[in-house]
Amino acid sequence: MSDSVTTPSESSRLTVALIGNPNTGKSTLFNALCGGQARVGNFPGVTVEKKVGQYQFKERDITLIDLPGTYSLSPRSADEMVSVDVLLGRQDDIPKPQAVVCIVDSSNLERNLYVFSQIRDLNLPTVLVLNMWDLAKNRGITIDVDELRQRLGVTVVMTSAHRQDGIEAVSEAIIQVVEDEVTPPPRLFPEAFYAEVEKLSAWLVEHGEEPAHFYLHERMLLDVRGASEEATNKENTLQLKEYLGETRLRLAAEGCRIPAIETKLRYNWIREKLDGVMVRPASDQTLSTSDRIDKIVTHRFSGILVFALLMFLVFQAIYTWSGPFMNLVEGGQNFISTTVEGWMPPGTLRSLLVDGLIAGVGSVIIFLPQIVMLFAFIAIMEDCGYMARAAFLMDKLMTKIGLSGKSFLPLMSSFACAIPGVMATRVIENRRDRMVTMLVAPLMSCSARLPVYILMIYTFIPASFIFGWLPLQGTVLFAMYALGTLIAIPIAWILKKTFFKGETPPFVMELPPYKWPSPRIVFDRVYDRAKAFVVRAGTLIFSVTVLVWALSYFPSDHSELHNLSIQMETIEVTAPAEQETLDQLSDQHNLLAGKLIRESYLGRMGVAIEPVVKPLGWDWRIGIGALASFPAREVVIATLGTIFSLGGDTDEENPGLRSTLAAATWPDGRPLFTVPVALSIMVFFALCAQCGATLMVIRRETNSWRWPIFTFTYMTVLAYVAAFLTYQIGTAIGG
Amino acid sequence: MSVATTTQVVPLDLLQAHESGQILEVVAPNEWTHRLQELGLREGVTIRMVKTGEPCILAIDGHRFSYRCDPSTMIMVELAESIA
Repeated sequence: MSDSVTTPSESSRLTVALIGNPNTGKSTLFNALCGGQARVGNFPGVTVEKKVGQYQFKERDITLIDLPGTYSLSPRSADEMVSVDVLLGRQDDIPKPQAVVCIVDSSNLERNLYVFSQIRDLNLPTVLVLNMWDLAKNRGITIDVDELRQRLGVTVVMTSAHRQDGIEAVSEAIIQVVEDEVTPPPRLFPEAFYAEVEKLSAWLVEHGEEPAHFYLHERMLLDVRGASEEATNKENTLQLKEYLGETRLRLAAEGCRIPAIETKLRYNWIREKLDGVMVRPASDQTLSTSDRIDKIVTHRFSGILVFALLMFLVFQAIYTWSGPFMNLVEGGQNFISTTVEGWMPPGTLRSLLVDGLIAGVGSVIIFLPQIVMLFAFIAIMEDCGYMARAAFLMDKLMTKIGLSGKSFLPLMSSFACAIPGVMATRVIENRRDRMVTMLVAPLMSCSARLPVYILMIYTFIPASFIFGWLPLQGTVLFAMYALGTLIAIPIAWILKKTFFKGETPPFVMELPPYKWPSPRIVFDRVYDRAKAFVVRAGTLIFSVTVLVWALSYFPSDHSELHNLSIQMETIEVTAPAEQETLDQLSDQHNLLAGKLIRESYLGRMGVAIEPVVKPLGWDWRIGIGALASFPAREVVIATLGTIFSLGGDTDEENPGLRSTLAAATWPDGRPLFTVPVALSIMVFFALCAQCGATLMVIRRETNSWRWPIFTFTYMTVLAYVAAFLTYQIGTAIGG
Repeated sequence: MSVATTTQVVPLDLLQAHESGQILEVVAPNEWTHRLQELGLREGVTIRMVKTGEPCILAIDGHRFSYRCDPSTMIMVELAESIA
């Protein structure tokens, strides 16, 4: 037989899919198997995270695909369809898995086996992993594993993944199970059902559809308005819907009511299989530790208090703890600039390096410490189980604006970054709620705004105390964070009353037991985000910076300026007279630099837009900064860094951006930045939609350009009006 | 003489804290019934009210869920014989 001849490397390669309910320790098992070596991306066309890991076991190369946690394999949307497609080998970029590992929580077998029973229908070699074995034992649950293995007809392995127990047995089971013969899946449904599925398959082939797996046709019948109902050929769609409707009626007449029949049969099967195999202690009445914590944390008053305290702590920590790290990065940046200046004579290339790249990218990288801290806090709160409680608490508030507690998590993660936030809206089953959440998520103050806030607050808001005890700077920061959130309330309410009218659906959410956050998972999340931030600084921000530098350097002739720089750098100050010459040269240099940048391409563009931004208290440089930051908010810092560095506003003693901005003036010598100007910049950035990536994600999630354009428009109008009011009112009060 | 116990059927949201019972019926629009059942809120399951309110916290097989019903969904529960 020719097709059995394969090269050894091919036959040793195994593709395995990992699937299971949420909160079963799936990521922990994945990390334990692959050692954290994973490629993370997206499946094409959908927003499902594609996590693929590789490892070696007994000379076999194993590729492990981590599928999203799910309670069932009944795809109702394109996102949920991805898991089914991967398992059936219909996903182009992934080979068909040779085996499936289904992970379940040992203490919650009955419910977790639901998805397992669906996986059995796929007729793939399957390993059932009973995870959290130690916890189940502690709870007094006993499972006769040998008997279970017999009854289910698959390999069963016990693990405690968070303690690295039983991990090797999983790999052993995988390489064994691909060799064994697969026990055919149990036939749970009445024969009439299977007959109808076969008739459906024949009908589809007759209508020119590609033959597909039996499971897909089962799903077509079982999921009313599900994702598999969409026919590949457009012209068949209507006919197919009609055909399915008739079939369901026929089956109902025979006592096989869809969809109720599926859950009933599957749970009956599970109960039958577990009967006598699993024994759990009778008393469910005792309060667990989690219940005791919940008494406080989900309480109407103390719960809100705990939540408020936690948030306050997070903001204060981000603000205070990151100071020393920022100084460190800034010191490094200054050191590099000085070193480059020492090596190279003044000229175009040096200007590109120092004014363009180091000033631009450096001024963004400096905010890495805050971003790491923010993501660490969010990851810890999520992993220990607190986030679900916060969602529970917030449900009451969310229902007031027509949303549910499910919208809380996406909105909360949008404080770190709107991109994962928008993607997290997938947990909201109700389409209307999901859309509203997605459209207000970019209003939450994400980590890219933090650099703008910090820069403005550190530089222009006095470090004084309100009422003698409340730090003003921290309070302004808090106010900026609160601003977006407060504005989101009426916006969500209006959207819910206009575009997305409808009833609030029932709200069911699992509250996983509390646990200590896993350092591994927290580290991985923070690392991924920090990496994304640095990569963005190195690519997108880098390119925009070079562009901005070029636009503000050319076409003016810089030879005179370079001559001045050379003169300044060759003077050795030994006497007061020389100091005077240096000061004169320096003034001349700055004057010339300012003239040159006004004559540059960017300067000309700036003059054109200045009338638009002047009512906000901004000069053309800030205006250009805001305009150039369309791809990403933090770019404004880099752009300001470059423009002001080129414009000669740099303080020679301390070339950092903060002192540069503090020294910046209007052409008539008035200081450019005042407190109202700083506030107006912050308010603008708090509310604007300057983030290309978020808009792209919204377009992908909604599958239409309409909503990203809508988001951009409403947010920009909001930002402009709010910044205008801030500046005008601020000036009126201050003056 | 023991008092004859009459089984009492109430909507889920009327359960008092620490009361438990068996779900008799889930009445909801089709797509919702399927979801709720997959999540574990299905006929025959024993549930216990941990914390009342909107949303409430329920215990199902030692696991905790928060649940808030909407007007179109009704879960009928047969109360377990209360221990006086």
